[in-house]
Amino acid sequence: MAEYNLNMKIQQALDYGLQYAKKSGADHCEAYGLNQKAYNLEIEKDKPKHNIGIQHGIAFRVIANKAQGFAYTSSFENKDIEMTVKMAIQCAKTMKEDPDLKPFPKPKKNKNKLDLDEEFFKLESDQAAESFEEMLQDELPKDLYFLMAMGFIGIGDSFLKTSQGIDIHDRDAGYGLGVGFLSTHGFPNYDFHFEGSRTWGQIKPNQVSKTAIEKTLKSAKPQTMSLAGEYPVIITPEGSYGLFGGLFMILEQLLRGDKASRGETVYADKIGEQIAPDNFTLIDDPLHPDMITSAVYDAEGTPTERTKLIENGILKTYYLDSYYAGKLNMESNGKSQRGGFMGGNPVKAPPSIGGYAAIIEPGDSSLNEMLAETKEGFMMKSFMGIHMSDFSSGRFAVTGSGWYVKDGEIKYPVQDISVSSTIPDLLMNIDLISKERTKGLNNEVPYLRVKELSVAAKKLDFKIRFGFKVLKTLIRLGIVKNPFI
Amino acid sequence: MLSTRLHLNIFIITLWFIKLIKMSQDIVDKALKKLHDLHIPYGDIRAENSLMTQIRTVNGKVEASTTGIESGIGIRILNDGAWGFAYGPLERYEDVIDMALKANKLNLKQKKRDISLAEVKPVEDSFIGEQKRKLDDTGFDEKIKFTFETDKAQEDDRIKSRTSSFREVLRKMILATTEGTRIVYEVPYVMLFAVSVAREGTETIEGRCRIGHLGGVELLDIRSPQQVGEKSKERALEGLKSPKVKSGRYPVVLDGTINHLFSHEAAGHSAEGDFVQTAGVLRGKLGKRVGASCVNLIDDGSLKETEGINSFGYIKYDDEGVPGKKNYIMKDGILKTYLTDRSSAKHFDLKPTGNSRAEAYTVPQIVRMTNTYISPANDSMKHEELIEQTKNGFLLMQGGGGQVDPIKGTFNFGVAELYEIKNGEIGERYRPTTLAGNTLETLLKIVGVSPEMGDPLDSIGFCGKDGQSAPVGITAGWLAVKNIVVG
Repeated sequence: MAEYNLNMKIQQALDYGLQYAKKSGADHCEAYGLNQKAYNLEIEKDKPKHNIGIQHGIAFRVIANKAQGFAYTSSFENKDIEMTVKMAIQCAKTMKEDPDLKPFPKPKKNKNKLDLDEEFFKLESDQAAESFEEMLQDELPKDLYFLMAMGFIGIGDSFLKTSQGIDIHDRDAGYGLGVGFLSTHGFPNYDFHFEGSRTWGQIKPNQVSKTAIEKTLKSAKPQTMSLAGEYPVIITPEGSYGLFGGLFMILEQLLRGDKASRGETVYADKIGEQIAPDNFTLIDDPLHPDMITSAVYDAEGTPTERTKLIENGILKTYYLDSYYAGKLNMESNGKSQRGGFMGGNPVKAPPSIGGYAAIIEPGDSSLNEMLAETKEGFMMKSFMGIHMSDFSSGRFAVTGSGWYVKDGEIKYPVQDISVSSTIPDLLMNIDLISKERTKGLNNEVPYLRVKELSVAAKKLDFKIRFGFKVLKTLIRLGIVKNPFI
Repeated sequence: MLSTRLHLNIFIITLWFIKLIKMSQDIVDKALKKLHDLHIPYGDIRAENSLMTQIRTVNGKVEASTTGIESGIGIRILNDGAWGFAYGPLERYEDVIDMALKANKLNLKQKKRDISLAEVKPVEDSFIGEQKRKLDDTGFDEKIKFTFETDKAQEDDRIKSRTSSFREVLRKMILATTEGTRIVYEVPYVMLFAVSVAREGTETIEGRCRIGHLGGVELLDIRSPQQVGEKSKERALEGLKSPKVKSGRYPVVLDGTINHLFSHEAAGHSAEGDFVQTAGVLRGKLGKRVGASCVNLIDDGSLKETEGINSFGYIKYDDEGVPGKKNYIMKDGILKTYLTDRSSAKHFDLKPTGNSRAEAYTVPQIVRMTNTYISPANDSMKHEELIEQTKNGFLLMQGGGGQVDPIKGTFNFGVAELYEIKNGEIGERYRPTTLAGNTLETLLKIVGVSPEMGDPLDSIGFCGKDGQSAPVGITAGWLAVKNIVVG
């Protein structure tokens, strides 16, 4: 009941803000409101750090004097709403007229629907934690230790009302569970597994745990190597769209309509051109039934759609909102977003362009065939330093970990492998795409083999390796305590 | 006329802000009373009101102009040896306490050991970050002008896109604990960013420049918007005509900004007490040699300014009320302490180092760095001597962000300027790239540190950890390293 009353209060605040904007000289106004609750679950080794929070606020984007302004507040009092709207108008009035600026989008019919699991809204904190506990295994293989477990449950109502007549109440919920283990077999290494769903109970905590253990064992005892040269590299689904960012995060930046309209990306003016092999198709699918980022409307109230960005290697379109679609003489494909899921408070920033769920169509090779085709190379699963890449040219030089592949077989896990190239070169060099795909939190992608990538690595110094071996011996003999656990 | 109107509105916003602060004080008192009434052994309350303004200009046109006020309260309790943290709107502080109790119940169920806190003396104080040119005395139109000036300075036929962003944040917070600590903070930050994208033929390259400090708009009197725009343009244009470096392992000299990046990312994160309790390459190494004898790694929250320029990572108190301090993490290559909050200090039997920070009321405090760098040793060498000693390799300048894996001990940093060192002299410039290495190995391979402290404006950053971001600095002397992977 309290939540219902708050939702009513938010809607009244938005209506008041819209009216006040009109009265105060705004030509158009878009009002957004949020009422959100989150359970953040985390255990770091032996420290449980669960927390719970509620967040609500409202934001106004106005068009006045042919310019846009934006302001937000966490208060619903009329005086504060007035002040916020005034600030947004003031922001707009300080800007020069923008000839490209058009009114906010008009309402459009939307037949798309996503299932909502109301169970999330009835959850008590105890229940939320129960599913979490099931991930915590008591018995683990030798040299494997629990590192951390994390989870989240997000429920919320958001509201969008505009002077153009859009009136949307979006009620959404989802959750995620993940766990990581540390292997001290050889140099310490770890791996995680994380799953998300829009249906409560869909994730099997035991299975998440088992998968994480398997992944950690596969990465155990990593080696370092000294080499520099061009090698074939298989990029795993996590390597291209990992939980903490993959290489294709750079591609998403290069395909943004705002960057294309400003000539800021290497793919500006390249629509219709071949930018990847014939069998490479990249789709953004906000309507995927079980991605926690799925949505039927974008942040401007435009119905979302399944968009083929690259089809059979040809660049078809960019990620577009209404403004940049207009600048590029194209139609919005509903890619306007507000930060939120893993991106901060959605109230605090105006909508911007981004992808919802990346889907890469499967290819016709099996992973085994891809490995068999690799005489000497690497299979890479995670990269560091992606955010330091050049988001205009797509140039990257990242350090990662994965496996060394020799004569068609995975030989051993490796770390400290530096890989460099540009995204355009990488895409054009993909020669094999796997049939197998893995579903992540907001993606479903296959393994991709790149024919040649520049790889450099350096073996850890003898002194450090020797010191480590001595330490392991002392631990085994019980002379010193294992410092890694 | 416009300017007068704008000033008037800024005045109204200021009044609104004052109203919120007053309300926060009342709520903090009520929340504290409730925690006492519930006999909670320890609780801390952070009430926050933040004013944020951001203006982004793209190719000479203001593309985004946003402002807003956010208020809320974060309450953390320590009950029966387990934490409970919750957050929410100020006026719903009672719900927030209930949620903190629920979170505490969940944590109690899964705790394996008791959490306790190192003793500290309760503090009653206030801190107002000095602003020589106040944010609220500077009109919106003037702030827009900063971005236009930055934009103008980037103009060139080869620059295809110019982005300039001005950002200011004014955080007003109250920290109150059941032990009697009560600190009122007012912390202003000002930042200016430029990104220039150069294109020639099929080649595209980005140049970036970012400055910032804890203080007011006087930042732009110290370093002008034109200088920021020009530097960004120069990096893009120089990068465009420079050759690519061949990936490989090279002897290197790292400038002060990369000294900071390495000290922060590679060495500092590995020494964070909350993290070390779980894993990491510095676990179990207190009192042991982990670096070359010239390595003195410092984190200094009390470093207010360097040569008149305010540090981005300065804190008078951390978010548990512990004063910011100068801490030697490593002295002469020996690991002396971890960086701690009160619970990790107790766990390791160390003194609290004043490194407990939270990005906002919506997140709990965690161990964070402040101003981190490797300071000159007794046998410091001048810049020229470091270059001469390196003979053949690369001089890497102007760090552009970094990432570390503190469990594996690996790191990767962006480098905006790269120069060849040939026969002990600085030579040809190369295209921006990255460097990568292993923390423990690199610490042992540092062969020299220069005594000159760099310009703190060159090395501001936001450190990300556990989804939280914290302002950090600072640039220091140059470092020579035997070898590292470049490119």
